[in-house]
Amino acid sequence: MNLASLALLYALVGLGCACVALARRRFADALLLAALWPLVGPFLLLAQAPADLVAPDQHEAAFLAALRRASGTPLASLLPDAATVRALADRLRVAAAKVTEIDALLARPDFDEAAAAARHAALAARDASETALSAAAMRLQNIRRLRALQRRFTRELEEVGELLGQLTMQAEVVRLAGAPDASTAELVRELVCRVEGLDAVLDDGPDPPGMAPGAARA
Amino acid sequence: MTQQPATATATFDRLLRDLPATLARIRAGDDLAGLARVALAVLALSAAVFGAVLGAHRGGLQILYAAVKLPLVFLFTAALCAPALTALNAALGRRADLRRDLALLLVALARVGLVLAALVPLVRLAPAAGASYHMAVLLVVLACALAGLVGVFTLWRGLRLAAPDAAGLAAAGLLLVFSLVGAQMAWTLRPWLLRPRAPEPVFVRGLEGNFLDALGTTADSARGHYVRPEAPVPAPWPAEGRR
Repeated sequence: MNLASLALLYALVGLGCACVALARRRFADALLLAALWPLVGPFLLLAQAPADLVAPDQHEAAFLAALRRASGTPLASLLPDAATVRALADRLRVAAAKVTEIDALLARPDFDEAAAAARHAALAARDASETALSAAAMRLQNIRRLRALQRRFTRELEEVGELLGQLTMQAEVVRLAGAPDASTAELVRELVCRVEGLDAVLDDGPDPPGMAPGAARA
Repeated sequence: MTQQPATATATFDRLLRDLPATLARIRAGDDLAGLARVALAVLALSAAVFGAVLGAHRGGLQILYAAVKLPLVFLFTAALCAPALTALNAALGRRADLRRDLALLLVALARVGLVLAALVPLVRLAPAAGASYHMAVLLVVLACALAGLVGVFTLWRGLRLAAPDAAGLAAAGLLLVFSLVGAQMAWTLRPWLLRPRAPEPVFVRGLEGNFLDALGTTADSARGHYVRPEAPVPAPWPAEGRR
């Protein structure tokens, strides 16, 4: 294949990419794609990978985007500095990654709670040895512990997500209406505390039944 | 939650002054298309300026030729090497994501372009300070090496932030691929400064061998072993009987 054929092939692919962008009514992108499709095509044409939609980075991206959006508003004076933001974003990422990891574990057949309970009951019914019974009980307990962890992480992340949504809206209100009020300051503080509190959630593990979150530490 | 992308100006400002924030944005996958557009614009513009300065050594049409060709070298090399970075990441057990890898590569190259643009006065003023053609070539090589170091550092930091495991190995692998592809691309699209004895500026010269052949020939010449009595007068591309 000579240079002319290569150039023709390049132009044809670029034209195809540009047509896709035009069909989506993205005219500026169509020009960019026609000329530089190998570089901008992955960003503009490829759908976001399914993994991304549930990736741990989802919360981090939302958090960073919310803070960046608020950086030009009067809300900026209430926001944490860049290093703290990065540390907070890291915590969010770690927490979300834990949830994904636990989800994957609980999806495995050997982590099936019903099967583990049935196995324990069967051992107890046929008068198995104390060691075997104890091991089965421990396995069941660990699975339940993981489920509790998953519920707790998910709940915390959902709450952080809601706060992020609220902060995003508040940032727009502050941008249009002027100086932030006390409720905005309170919201920012709560959001930062919640994200910082994820560390404690990660360290504590599940709450014992009947105890409020965080009470186990005390 | 709706995500409002940062403006191009804000993105450019962060690219210049806040590398950790830019790298964190890549890792989070936050508006990578916007980041890529800005990085591409910065790279194309700064490479065009540096190319124009290279061409200004000869002047005339060569300024335009080099200003058009240098951005092409960077852009084509990036397009060819981004999948290599994703493949390296996958092979080393790191997170492989073409969009993030391409964004990181473009950001690293945009910073390379910015360093080259910053060195423009030095390269432009060298002939005025009495630098010969060969001195000018050496100065350009030094400028490119310095800019390349900044690019490698950016890439390494980005890879390390994404996942610390084997980040150095991935960066070294990409550096090897990028150097070879980039050198061949620059060789294919030469001339840049244009030898003083070259008659007329040409957009590209005939395809005489490849970069590695030329490196070997240059090494031989440096030891006093010449394969031909004198350097040939370059022919415009496409040349008769080119390989």
